Amino acid sequence: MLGYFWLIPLPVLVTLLLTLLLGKKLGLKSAWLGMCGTVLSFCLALACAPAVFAGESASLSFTWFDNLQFGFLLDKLSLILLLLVAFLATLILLYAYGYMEHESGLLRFFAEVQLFVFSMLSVVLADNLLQAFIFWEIMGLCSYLLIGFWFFKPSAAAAAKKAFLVTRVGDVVMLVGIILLFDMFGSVEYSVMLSQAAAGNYDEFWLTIATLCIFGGVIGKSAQFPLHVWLPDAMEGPTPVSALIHAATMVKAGIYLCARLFPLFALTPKTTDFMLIIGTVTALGTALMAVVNRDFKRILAFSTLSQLGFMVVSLGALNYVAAILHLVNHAFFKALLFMGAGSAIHGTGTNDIYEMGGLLKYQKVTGLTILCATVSIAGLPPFAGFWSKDEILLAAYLAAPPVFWLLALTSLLTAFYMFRLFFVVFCGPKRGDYHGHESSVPMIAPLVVLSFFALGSGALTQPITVLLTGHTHSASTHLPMIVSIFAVIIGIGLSAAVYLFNVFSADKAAKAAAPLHKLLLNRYYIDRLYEKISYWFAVRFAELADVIDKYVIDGLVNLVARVNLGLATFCRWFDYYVVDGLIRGFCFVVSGFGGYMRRYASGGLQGYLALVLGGVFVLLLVAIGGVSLL
Amino acid sequence: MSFDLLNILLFLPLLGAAVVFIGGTLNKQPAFIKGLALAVSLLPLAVNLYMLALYDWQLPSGNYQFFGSVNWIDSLGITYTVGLDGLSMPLVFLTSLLTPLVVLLSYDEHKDLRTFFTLLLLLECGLIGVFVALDFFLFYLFWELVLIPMYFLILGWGGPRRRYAAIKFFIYTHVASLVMLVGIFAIVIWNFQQTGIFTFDFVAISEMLRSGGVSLPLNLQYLIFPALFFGFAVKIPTVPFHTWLPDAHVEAPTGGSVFLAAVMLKMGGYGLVRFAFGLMPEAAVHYALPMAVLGIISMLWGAVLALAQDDLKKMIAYSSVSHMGLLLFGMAMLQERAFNGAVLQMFAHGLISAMLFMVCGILQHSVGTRRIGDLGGVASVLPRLSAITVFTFFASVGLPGLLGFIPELQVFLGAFSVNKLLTVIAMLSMIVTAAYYLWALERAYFGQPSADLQEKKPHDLQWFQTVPLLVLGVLVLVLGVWPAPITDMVAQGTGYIIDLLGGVR
Repeated sequence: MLGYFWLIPLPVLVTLLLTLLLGKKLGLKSAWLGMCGTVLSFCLALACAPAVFAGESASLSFTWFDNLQFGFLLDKLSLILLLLVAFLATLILLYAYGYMEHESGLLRFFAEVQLFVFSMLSVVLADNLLQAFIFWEIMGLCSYLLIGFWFFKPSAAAAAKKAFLVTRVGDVVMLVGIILLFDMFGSVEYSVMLSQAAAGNYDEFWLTIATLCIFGGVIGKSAQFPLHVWLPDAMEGPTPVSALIHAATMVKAGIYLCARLFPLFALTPKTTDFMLIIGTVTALGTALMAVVNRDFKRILAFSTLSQLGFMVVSLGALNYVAAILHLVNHAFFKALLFMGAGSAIHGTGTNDIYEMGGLLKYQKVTGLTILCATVSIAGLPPFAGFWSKDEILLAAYLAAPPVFWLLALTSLLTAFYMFRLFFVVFCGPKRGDYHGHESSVPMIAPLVVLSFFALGSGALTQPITVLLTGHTHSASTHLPMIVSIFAVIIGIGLSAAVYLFNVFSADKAAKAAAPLHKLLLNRYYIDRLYEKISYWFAVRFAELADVIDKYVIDGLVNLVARVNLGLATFCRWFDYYVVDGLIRGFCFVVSGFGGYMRRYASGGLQGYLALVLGGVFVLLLVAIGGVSLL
Repeated sequence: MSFDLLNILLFLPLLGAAVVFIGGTLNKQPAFIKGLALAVSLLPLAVNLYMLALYDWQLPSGNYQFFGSVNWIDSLGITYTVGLDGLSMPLVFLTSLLTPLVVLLSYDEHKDLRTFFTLLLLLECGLIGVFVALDFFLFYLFWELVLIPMYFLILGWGGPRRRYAAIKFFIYTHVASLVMLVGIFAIVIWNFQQTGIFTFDFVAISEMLRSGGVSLPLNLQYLIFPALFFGFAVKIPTVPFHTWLPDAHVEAPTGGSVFLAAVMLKMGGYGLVRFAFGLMPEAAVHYALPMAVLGIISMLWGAVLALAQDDLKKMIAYSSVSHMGLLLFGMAMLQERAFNGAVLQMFAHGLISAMLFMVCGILQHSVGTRRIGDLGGVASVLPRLSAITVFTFFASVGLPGLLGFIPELQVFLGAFSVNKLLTVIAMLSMIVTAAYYLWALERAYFGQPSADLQEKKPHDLQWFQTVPLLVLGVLVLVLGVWPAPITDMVAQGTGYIIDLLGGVR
């Protein structure tokens, strides 16, 4: 079976082509077609599992063009991701079957989702960085197209553009990194690079630059500070897309890539220090924004950013296993949260959590499954999120205690804003005038399935750790765990006090800290700063360039033309009046004289006779004069 | 036999032009003229495909296929020498492929179809001639021949400022050609002084240079190279000699624009590789840095200007300047991979820019404007055209999986090992390129359509518009996924020049 591992993404490609062919007729049923593909991919991956988990790995590569390789690699790390992606994609397609019921443009939707799934599987299966980059970019395209699915909404169109351009900045930096690695190692195949690096065939300075550049791509795709701005706006896309691409899979690709290249990162302490800082800043900064936001999906988006920050910290703290664990857990509970959010939004017709309230009465299943995800993400023991977050906190504690304390604060905030979300939406009085109703079965079923994983995927902690490292994990200190449990309890308690029991008012707190509140609501003004910069560049600077092009560069061309034209005009003048003038002047004189002389050639005999006589007379006078002089 | 094939390929369009002109005079039915033009334009393509099938992929670099040489004007040493190699084959194929597609795309043209198609076929003959000619005189003849049909296409079927644009286009490129001609004379005369043979035969001259162990004296090279470079740089066009291009594009009819961007610009790049780099490698190395800098300036300047444009077609025109900058940059890096990437860029940009100008022309025809400010929400009204526009724009952005990415990758990968800093600066254009395309998509295609636009109920893609776009789109996709055939062919074509450059360095 292992020999055919490269087939894993193919079913999705086949169903994608079928969707393109038949999608018009199939309509919503394309979802089932898509599920066939993802289920088949999942089964293929599963069939490879026994051999891979037993320690085998498979690879296949061939020449693409020039001397660049195209190849696939299946090992434990990639298999975990493949299973995860195919599984979640199946659930999300099922969900979309319910969610997209009344939408048009279904062919487009399902084709783009499947193209995305195909490229995500291919990123994971790639055996070299360049190939990963190729599919990484195609994922970016899918993300762009799906965020802009409702392209007629200006906000969606703007968000799509923003997402692509912001990640493009990261991607170009990453491409620089890839090229640099290619230059250093002569290949960007993982195995070659890692063995060369292990053998010490590298220059530390350039390797640091290269890993920093690769991490630049991760900053873009996994939406870390300072390129995090696109993800909250990406929520303009349909909710299944937010769940699949902008929570569970694509934004994790960066984490996966770093885990893949982990030995390289481990060799460059400066890069990992930088990752620690970026991860911490992102985790804390975005959690704070989640606290004040009112939009259901945006709160979740900020939360995704924050959790991705945790994973980056984990990588920076040189514990990639914890990052992968958290990646898996987060994929489950965040996909669940987004799909639950979609269900709630579907039921209430609003995104504003303050217009919902008391929704549990109408949406029991949605509410309870979201509760499962909430306790999990908050990190309440013994649910999934607790385990992986604990690992990360421990790693951070061992690597850099200040980072640990900031992350502990973030854990507190996480518990606080997630329960705030839950309490405001599902508990308390009904705040908006919505006609609440539970969503259809295809939407609910994935929620139920995922809630088991959200609660219980902590059980995967040891198996995955054993798989990836070969030994079980044991904590050297329990302080981080104790702190984090306290932080979570305080967070939940605070949240309950404010939003469930109204011990004190959130509004008053917001007023008391008005400047901070305003800063957070405006996302630290970072978005606005970027808008200003891009405005100056794209409008002001480009216009200036246009003017220079038109009046200086082209002006010179036209000046040359005009000088020539002037010269030509002068020549024409000169030719007409001077050269030609001389000739005409001569003609004028000659013809004038001729005209004058004509009078004497009138044809009259008397005249001629008179002239002859006159002539004779003159000659006589001359003759006489001459003789007399002599 | 093979020589005859090439002759057939070269003169079929000329014959076709005559057939269309006469046929169109005898029978003025538009349907007849269209059908006739299409049939006639498909013939060279068929011949070309047959030649592709015969093409020898194993031939060592520096050899020509379908080669033939006949004395023409003996007293002046002018020969009729033609041949193909990996450098010219992609461009010839591009020309013969685009002609029927452009004929098809112009099915909704109304004005004097007979002359329009005749000019297109004449243009095809000239373009193929430029790429196959291996005699300086013949090359120059075709080089100038190309100008004439294009001039009349712009003048006869162009926009409101067509007179200005056509004359600017003609004079600008013609002046550049004359400078180039001086360079050519210098080479020919030097060759005469050395060998006592007065000939314009490029193959003979380059043989003499390569096997005779002599090269043009350096001081002469340093003089001649800029002369040739100027002639080619205007055609490419390189900043600061680019300003004729946006004007010509804005005024030219769609079919003319397609040829202009897709093939005519490549004449400059082709000439630069074949004649300037091929005969004067020392000078190429000498002037590499300024050329690279010019290339980067073109890339960035063109991209920034594209950002400023309100006219979609003008934006695309500037994007051509930017993408052609990559060509110059890649060549000037004098590195094998980058050089191949630069040459491949000619073909890739040929396909993609053809699509760009097609979608733009269809939009103009359907909606009546291409001003971004007046558009908006086109995607709601013209879904199919918009879908293929998104595809085309992303192909031009250089999305991996499509052909536009391959040359970019080759150039940057190769150039980086030569000069890291310059490469990174050049890569900045990747961001700006994405920016202007996506911004244009957002403003022109997305959002709510205006009431005016909805009322107008514009035509979405019609079959004669879909077919050309599909053919090109499939090629862009297939070669983007599997570029080995085209990269192998290019590598076969450039190998000997890279050896020359390497030998010099």
